Amino acid sequence: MEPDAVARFRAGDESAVREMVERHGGAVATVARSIVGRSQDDVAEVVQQTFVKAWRAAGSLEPGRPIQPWLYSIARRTAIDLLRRERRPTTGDHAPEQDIAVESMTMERTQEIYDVRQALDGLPADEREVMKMSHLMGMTHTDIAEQLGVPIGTVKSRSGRAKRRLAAALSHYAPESSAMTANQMGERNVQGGEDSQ
Amino acid sequence: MTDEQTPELPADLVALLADDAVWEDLDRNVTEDTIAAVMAEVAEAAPSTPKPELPPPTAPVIDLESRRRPQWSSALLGAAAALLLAVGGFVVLNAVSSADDDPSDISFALEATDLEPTAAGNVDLTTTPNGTRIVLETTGLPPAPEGTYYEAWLRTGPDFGVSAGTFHLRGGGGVEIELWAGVSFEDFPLFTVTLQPVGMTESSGQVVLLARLDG
Repeated sequence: MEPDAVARFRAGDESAVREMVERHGGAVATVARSIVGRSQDDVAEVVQQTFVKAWRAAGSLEPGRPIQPWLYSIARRTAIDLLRRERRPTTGDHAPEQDIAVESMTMERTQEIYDVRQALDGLPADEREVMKMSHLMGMTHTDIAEQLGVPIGTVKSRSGRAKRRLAAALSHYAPESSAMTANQMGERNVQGGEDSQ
Repeated sequence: MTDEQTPELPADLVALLADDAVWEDLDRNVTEDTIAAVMAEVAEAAPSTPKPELPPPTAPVIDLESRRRPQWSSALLGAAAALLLAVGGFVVLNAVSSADDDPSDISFALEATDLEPTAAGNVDLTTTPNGTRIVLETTGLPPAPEGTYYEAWLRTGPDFGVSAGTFHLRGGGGVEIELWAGVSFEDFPLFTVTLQPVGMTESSGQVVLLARLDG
């Protein structure tokens, strides 16, 4: 998000609010799901509260500071608050220690999920589509090419570009060694197939 | 660049690509509802929007107006704002007033921060032989969510403070809240209200209301 867009968001400009929600809402929802589960109502509540809180606190966001980590922290805190509220017994006459502790995914894991989602959302639509069909739906390059009606070479090039973009966007996770290369981000079911790398 | 030249990516992140949670699109209705909710906040915070009035109090009201002195100088507020900005980005927006010449009895307005920009409040501090009595009224401060509460502090500055008590407003607010502190506002001239998660003993730093009382 451009600094100007952040300033407009802070000022309550509706187009900037829309841009913020449309651009980051998916990643916020991903964090919400990872913490509160699959309830669509809970996810929707977390998404809504996250952006309301973000707007309230937007004045504290320093100009030029990346918005994603800031938004992530609000989303995670909001989701945990909702989870704690829903798990807490609603009737009285119980000892405090009987309250159920909130056990959610680690902060590191939710941060990874959030970052991967942000990286995927940053892909061009055609590359994102190929990655989704390959990694989520388990389709081969051949299947994807047939499905999209494009040459298999186009599928391979889109896939390669997408992998490089993801690797760049997530480079802060790359260890010094013992990591898979993006070249190893091969589609799950194409090894040995006619369209494997 | 060929695939062979592509930078590395950890395997656990690659595995996440097979998780539908990272692909699921945000429902269109959720998007629109979220935008509407933010814009409702924007409208509520607009300067032309009157702040919500407190319902009639259920306890005797201290007449703060009759005891206020002229407002303190803007230079004082500027200094307070500078101090707070240095440690947390808080903003002092308005003036502080005190009671008569007796420093043991002082009233002042609380100002909002960016965390709750529509909140406001008045505080009446009285030094008694048994401690500092604090009567707090707020408007526009929402009930603390379950798992959190509000905590009032008398502080020497950002680094050290003494709790003056806690409250949550989940009964609807609109009442005077009486708190006590075991220190004097003359020694602890920064008054803040923070939103605290249950289990945290020190200040969360999430200041929702504040005022500075010294010169």
